[in-house]
Amino acid sequence: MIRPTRRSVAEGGAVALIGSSVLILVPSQVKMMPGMQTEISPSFIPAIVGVGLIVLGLSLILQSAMGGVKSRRIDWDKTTSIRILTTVLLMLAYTTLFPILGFVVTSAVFVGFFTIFFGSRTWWKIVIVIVLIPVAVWLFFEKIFRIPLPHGFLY
Amino acid sequence: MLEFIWPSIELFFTLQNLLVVVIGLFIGITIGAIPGLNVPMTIALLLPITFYMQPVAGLTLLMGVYKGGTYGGSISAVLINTPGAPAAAVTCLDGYPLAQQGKAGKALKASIYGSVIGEFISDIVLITLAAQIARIALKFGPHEKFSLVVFALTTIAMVSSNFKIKGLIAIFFGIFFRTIGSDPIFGSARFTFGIFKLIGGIPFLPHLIGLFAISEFLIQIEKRIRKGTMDVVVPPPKTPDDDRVTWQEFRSNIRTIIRSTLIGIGIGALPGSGSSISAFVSYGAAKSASKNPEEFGKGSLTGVFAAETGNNAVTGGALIPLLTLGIPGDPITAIMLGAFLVHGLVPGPELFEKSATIIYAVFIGLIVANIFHFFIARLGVKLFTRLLSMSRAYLFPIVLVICMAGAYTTNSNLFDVYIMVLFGVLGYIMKKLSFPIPPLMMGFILGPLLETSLVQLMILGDGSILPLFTRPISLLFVLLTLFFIVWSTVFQKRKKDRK
Repeated sequence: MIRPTRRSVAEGGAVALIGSSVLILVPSQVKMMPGMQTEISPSFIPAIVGVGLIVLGLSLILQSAMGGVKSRRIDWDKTTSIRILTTVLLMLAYTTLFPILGFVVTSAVFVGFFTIFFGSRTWWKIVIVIVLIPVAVWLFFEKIFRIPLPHGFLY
Repeated sequence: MLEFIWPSIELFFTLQNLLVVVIGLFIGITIGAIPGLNVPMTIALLLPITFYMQPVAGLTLLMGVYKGGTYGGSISAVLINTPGAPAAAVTCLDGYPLAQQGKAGKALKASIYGSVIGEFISDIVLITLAAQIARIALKFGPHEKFSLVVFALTTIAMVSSNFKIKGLIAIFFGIFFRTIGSDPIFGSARFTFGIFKLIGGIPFLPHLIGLFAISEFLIQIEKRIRKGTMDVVVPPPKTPDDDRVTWQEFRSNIRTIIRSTLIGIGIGALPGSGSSISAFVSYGAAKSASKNPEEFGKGSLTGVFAAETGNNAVTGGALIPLLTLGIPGDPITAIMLGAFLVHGLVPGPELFEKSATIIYAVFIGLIVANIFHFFIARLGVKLFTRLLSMSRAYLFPIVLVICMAGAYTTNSNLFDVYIMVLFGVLGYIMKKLSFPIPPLMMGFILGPLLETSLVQLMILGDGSILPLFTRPISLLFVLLTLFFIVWSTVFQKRKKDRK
């Protein structure tokens, strides 16, 4: 038997840990209705999922120990992590500002930022995208589909 | 039946009906291609408009949207790795790698041919054999449904990537996420952690957009950008053959198309299953039958043919239980049931006696829609490829804004947008760690069907699952599941070792 890779131990261990957490959480997080008596309780499927994840997590480690399928290398460096973290935070900020500034304004700021981030330097194209896209999407949802998007305090 | 054909032809072939078919297809393809918009929502929005139309025009408009939307999901799946509809997740597996090789035109055209042929045959089957198929479909009880779902999920885990255990883990995660909220049998709250908004469960559309579109956005963010340079999303074709499906390629995929069509019709006829199962089972069957299964997932044209034929062949099949028994199989046919009732047409065995002329006119509309579908989709390929061939500097921020709006409008709720971002991060982590995403999505979709059929079969069998192995159709799916596991692990490994 070959020694399992560190990555497979980490991945398999994390999956098994999540499975165990599901099993631990079942008694407190699955609320039974009073007087409920059935062949299968609402906790049956979550319990199966928990056990399944533990078994599969351990199988992942075992597979690696037996020289099974090798995972692809993960390309990851400091710049990538900063970029991803910034983007996720920006998306959360976008979502939070959505109802305050309104869909059109928030989207214009967001589109502008990422258009420049992705390498566009032609100012007139950036302006067109910033103005046209949020307004077009807004019109599409509000006027054609009659689904309201947040207007914010500006208008 | 024949005596109704001529009056039905007269009833259908009016300028208004032909125009309505074209408009329906156009709306459907466009909606299907935009992540964040979906066919059930569009059909629901168009339903009130059909009240003011003649029955044939109103119904063919909705059918056109249904057909166009089912196909349209493949456009964004191929071009930007984001399925416009859940069933198109399978198309991502091979369509996107093909597009990245400069073969977007080939993949999209394969998708059109597969979709149109699948639809055409399934419509013919609907017209001629609906009653017989409906009778078989009625034999599907909870045992058969449970074993079918287990078979579908196993297929999905085995064919989605080379990492089969990771595929199974993804399915379990999908089922787990679906358990959050009220349980489908008794309404007991599960894993809500005191958050009121979670009682309704995790919303499907934000979950789907997050897993596919947001995760892809994050992958794109990773790529290094040199100042002043902008990469295009879809590389141009290197040779003329990269932009079309050659006759030889089409001929070598005829078997796949026919097989996937039959799977699509069969699965479509079962209430509660839907096009996602059909696309995955067709893809799995094509991979099992292929001489080069290792090409699947890396840009196999057969994979695109199988997925697209399988998911579009469902459209005719799904109408079988609706029209013959009055049982809608999925949300789309449920809304269509409303359209039928509004026009005084009560789906069921008597529909073909009382309103035969109208129904056969609608059937003619389906066939005509297939012909129009082919030409509109062909025109659309050029348009969408050109639109999505723009620099990713513009495309991805635009897609993101549409996704944000799409997630928000699901329930007009900011909570859904946060859910979308959360699943986007999860999808990104999964992609980095080589966990396939489509099985998670399918676990999420099929979780409730799996649970309800399991509870029902346990109640029927007094806690015993033995009937799963004694009822013939259920046993067939159990055996197919076992065969598929053995085939994809033992046989494939042997084949690989020999190579």
